[in-house]
Amino acid sequence: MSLHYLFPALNEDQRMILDSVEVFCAGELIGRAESIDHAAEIAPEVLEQIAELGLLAICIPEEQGGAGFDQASYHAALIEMARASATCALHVVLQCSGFLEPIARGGCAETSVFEAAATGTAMAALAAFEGEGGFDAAAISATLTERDGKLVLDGVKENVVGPADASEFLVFAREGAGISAVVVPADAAGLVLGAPLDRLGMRGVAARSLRFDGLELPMSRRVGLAGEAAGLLEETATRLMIALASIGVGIMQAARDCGARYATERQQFRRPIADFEAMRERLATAEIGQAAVLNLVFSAARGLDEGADVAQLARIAKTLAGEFAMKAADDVLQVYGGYGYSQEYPAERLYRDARYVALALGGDAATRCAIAARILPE
Amino acid sequence: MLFQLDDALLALQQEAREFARTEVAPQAARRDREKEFPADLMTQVGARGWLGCLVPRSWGGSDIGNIGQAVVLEEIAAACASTHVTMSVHNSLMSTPLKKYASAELQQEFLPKVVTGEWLGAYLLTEPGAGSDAAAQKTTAVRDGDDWLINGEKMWITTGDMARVGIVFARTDLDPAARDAKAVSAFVVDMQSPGISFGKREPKLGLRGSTTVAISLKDLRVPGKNLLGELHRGFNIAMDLLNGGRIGIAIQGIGIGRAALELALDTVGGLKRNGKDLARSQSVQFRLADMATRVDAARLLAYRAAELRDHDLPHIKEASMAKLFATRMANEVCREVVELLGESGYGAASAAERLMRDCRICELYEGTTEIQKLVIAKQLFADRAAEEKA
Repeated sequence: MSLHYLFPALNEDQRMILDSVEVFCAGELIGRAESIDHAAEIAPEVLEQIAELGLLAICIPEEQGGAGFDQASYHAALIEMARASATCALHVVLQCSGFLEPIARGGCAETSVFEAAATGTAMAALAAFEGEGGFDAAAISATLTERDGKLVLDGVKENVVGPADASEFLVFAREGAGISAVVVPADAAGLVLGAPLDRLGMRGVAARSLRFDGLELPMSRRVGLAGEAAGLLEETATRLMIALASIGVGIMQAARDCGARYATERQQFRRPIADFEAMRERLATAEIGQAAVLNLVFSAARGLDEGADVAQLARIAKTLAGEFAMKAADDVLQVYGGYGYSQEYPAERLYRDARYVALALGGDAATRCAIAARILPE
Repeated sequence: MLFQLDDALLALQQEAREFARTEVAPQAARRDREKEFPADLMTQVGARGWLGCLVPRSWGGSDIGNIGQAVVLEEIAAACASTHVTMSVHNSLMSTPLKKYASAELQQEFLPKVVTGEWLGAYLLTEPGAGSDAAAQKTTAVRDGDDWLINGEKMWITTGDMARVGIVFARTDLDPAARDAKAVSAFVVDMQSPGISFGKREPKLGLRGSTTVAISLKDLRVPGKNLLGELHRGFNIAMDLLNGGRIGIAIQGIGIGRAALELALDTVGGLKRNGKDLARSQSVQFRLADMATRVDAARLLAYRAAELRDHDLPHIKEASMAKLFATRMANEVCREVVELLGESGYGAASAAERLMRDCRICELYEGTTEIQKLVIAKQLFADRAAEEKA
């Protein structure tokens, strides 16, 4: 079933993007989702197709080297992709919102870095986390110093989520009294790469730690201005939250798709289980959650395009998405009954992937505290 | 009514906890990763009588009653859910029915080896089309001289391909007008008999140390003496055993939920978020308080059902309530703990993600959450009708 009915207000450009992503997802990606999860790797030919579709820099202005589509197009594409494979959608998010967008916004003299990641010839990851600190600039303790015309980086980043073979890392570090950003190549001397760790879900990307021991970089690898990247970090967190919410919407759509199909096919007590009210309530809850988060995502996307401050909306969308996507995946696994526990059916993968939405970017409690901070008097 | 274990049960709990800590827990992560069946552990728990918790000592059981069984199995579940379910199914669905329903001859033949764990048990009730609707059995057993010939397909059989003994449910009254629930019989079956073939092991979200297989029965010949209980009354046995089994799965949820809570307590002590110790964060403290309260509430519900069962008092509603609450609670707790531990909890290096995967089965087997609610609601109306009559 096409997703168009969920996006009644799409313009021609947006519809065109959604159509091409739909063709790719229905024809190719959905059939590969299980093996991507099982192998804990997105096959190179899938990555190539994602790059060829132009999704990696889809929402970056043309003058900055992107495809120039708006945020709504990007999020429509993400939702459609997450519906087929949440981990592939997360891959796109990490490349686009986690790397290319901040570099395009902050500016980087080393233009080849952007070009390689935008065309998919290089994989990238964002290294902002330290411990469980999430995206709070105050929790960053890695340091950057300028010495003899070079940048020197020291410190540790935990839980850097990205492709297992990422070759570039966007690193946020403390510089003097402020926060700065640099792009670090994976083969830099002084970089110790932790082993990629296996995970419960979203297995097409890995988590690992990075340690920098007096790592030296040319000045051209700086992103934005020295000591002034705190705003860029916050903006990046906002965009990632909206993107995570989109992934949540896609997971809910997938849950709803397969739950409705299974409830119609499976017979118990001499009728399809879709006849039972308890099953309908579970499916309805998935639809309700999906519609609610979808609307928040599109409000936030429009706001971004108009230059509005959407930080609070992003936090709310991400929090609700985390809650509803988990609920929808849990409900649909239950609709499948014992078959829900089998890895030969999609429900258990959705269940594992869905858990990620809430815990990403510092977790639910931290996001709720940030939401409250915004409404309390200063 | 003192809500506390007595000295004998406390000693039993201590013994089980120590055993689980030293023998079961250290292997749990590997067992999950390698999909390794706990065959070695079954011999060890068999020697302690924990594969015949309700079986008299004269038979080699431990005779610790339903509460004692709950106490022991919670400790095992907290250490390794796969080991737990293997023990729980063997106890509730093999040792107990042999003791409760089998003829002296069948007991003599099977109980001694079942109680030690030399012969593991499987329970062949569920079919591809008879999951929640367990009475809708398609498997048939027809007379052939003194024997029965059984044909049909069974599914989701825990320990199926590792079991030596099975209890097989099959339709014996083939009259289409016969009510499903009064047309089914139970048989004790040697699982090495000709006519039994196993499907591949089901790949599962969790509980990967436990085996789950489809089993095909083709002209399986079973001696007449192997009928368990009365002819056509197998469904009553199935329902009675499921009441006990539901307490067992409630306990599994409680063990897993408790393990998740303990993991959270162990872990948050060392974690900081935004420069603040997580253990001192109010939102973390409140979550932990809620989890601990729910684990305790679930255990009280399960102990109540177990005690009623020990006294042969009605406990259908109570067993279902215990399972409904404990398993839903446990899944919520596991999901919360994974979220609480963040990216680290989501990683395979943490036990949190295994607990979350293992736990999800609890709301599916021995009657789904929906079936527990149907049972409870039906009983609520039955209780009301009985009150009005009185």
